[in-house]
Amino acid sequence: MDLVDVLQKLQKGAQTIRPFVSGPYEKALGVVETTLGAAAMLADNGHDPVAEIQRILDVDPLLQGMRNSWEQKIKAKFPG
Amino acid sequence: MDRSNRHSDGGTVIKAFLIFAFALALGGCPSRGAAPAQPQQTVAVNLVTQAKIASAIAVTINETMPLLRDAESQEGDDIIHTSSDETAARLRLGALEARWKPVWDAMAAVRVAHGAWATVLEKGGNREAAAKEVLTAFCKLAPLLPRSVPRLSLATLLCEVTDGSR
Repeated sequence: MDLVDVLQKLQKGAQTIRPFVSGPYEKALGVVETTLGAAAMLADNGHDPVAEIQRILDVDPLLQGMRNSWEQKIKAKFPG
Repeated sequence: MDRSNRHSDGGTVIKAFLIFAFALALGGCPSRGAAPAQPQQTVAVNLVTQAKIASAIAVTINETMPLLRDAESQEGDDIIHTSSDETAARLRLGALEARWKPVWDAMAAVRVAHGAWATVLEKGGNREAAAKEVLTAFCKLAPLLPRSVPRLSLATLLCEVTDGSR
């Protein structure tokens, strides 16, 4: 069992006692759940950084949109 | 005024993380003198950090590209607004696009180099060489960036900082 499994099990454990908790403790439990979930996610990402790498987008669609906008404005200003 | 300041602040942050990114990528690799005691752990930490920084760079550039496009688009709108006939407007727009083409070509080169770097981080390979390609591509883009978009322009200081190592 690795760190991710432990954290995920703790998070699920926290969720199972939620029905029996109320008032300010419910809010605290929510924080614990969120923290454990985030920790599990970070730990999991640590195993696989690959999924996190974003790519730079292709600029062509942006430029095409700009040209289309100019075309419309030219036609509007110089009809016919 | 506020907008300019906000961009300047963002630029400072971007400069910092870009320098950090390339310092890690170029100088932080295990082959550049990492402690031999726990080499696998060092590799993992550097890889995760570099992957996150590569993502951050992509996000930043993706957020900046519309600003550059808006700058060109605004110039085009002004041309259309001030042109007396359609032919003149199209000629001037053509000249405008020709002036901006090197920027977009250089941006495309950064995109290719960054994609290659990300792939190396994902699948393995020469991270140092891949990061250097990103830096080289970025430093070709840097002098072309208009001053009206200071967010990335400030990051161009990176090229001055690393100039001696290229």
